[in-house]
Amino acid sequence: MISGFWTPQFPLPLIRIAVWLEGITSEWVLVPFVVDTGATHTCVHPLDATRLLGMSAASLDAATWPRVEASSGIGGGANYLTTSALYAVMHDDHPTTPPEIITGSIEIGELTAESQTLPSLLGWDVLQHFRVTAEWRGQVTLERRASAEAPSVGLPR
Amino acid sequence: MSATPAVNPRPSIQEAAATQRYWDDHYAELLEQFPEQFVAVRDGTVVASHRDLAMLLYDLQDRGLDARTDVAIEFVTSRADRLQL
Repeated sequence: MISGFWTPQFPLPLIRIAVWLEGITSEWVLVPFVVDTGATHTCVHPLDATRLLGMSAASLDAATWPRVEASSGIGGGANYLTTSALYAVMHDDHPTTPPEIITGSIEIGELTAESQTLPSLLGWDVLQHFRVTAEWRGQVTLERRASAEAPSVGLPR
Repeated sequence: MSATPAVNPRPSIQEAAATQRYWDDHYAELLEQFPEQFVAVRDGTVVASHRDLAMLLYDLQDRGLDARTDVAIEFVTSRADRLQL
């Protein structure tokens, strides 16, 4: 069982997942993600990128990035830097049960007035490996799907 | 990437849960004092606040504080209950 949580002041389900970003982190970093079934790709927004990943404000300026991906959302468009990532989804009895390791990528959002307050989002590039359950202000769980059910699908941009 | 390194994340799950409990317990008073601002807390005391995340980070840097390891940072808002991602 992999459990998420709710907080009193925030109306969306959250789950903590460890990430390792190539060239950015030197250890596993625990990040709280919104379980976002409306997102195709997992992303870290500036608040978590700075306070948890240790990135500087200057490094979140898209003008300094070698390549920029543009994503669209309800709130408008935003620029993202895509980088390789490992995800370690930890069971409630961690470390007794080994974590579920997902290899993929993650998008890091540019620091703007609009993006600076946004939470990080866990999208279908990671969620596809799990059965997702969420009850309003109740239980939030991820269960690893059997490998036959869960091919690793690279989502188109 | 090569072999998967052992998973001992920082913060630990227990540390992250304790930080979250702090925000949950103090959110109302922080909202009263620092509405719509980013706040940085160290040992239960607000050491910096700003409406702009970058400015808060520069302020912390000027004080020799590491945003990742020396403080906990949160955005305190009355509008968290309305969000369309």
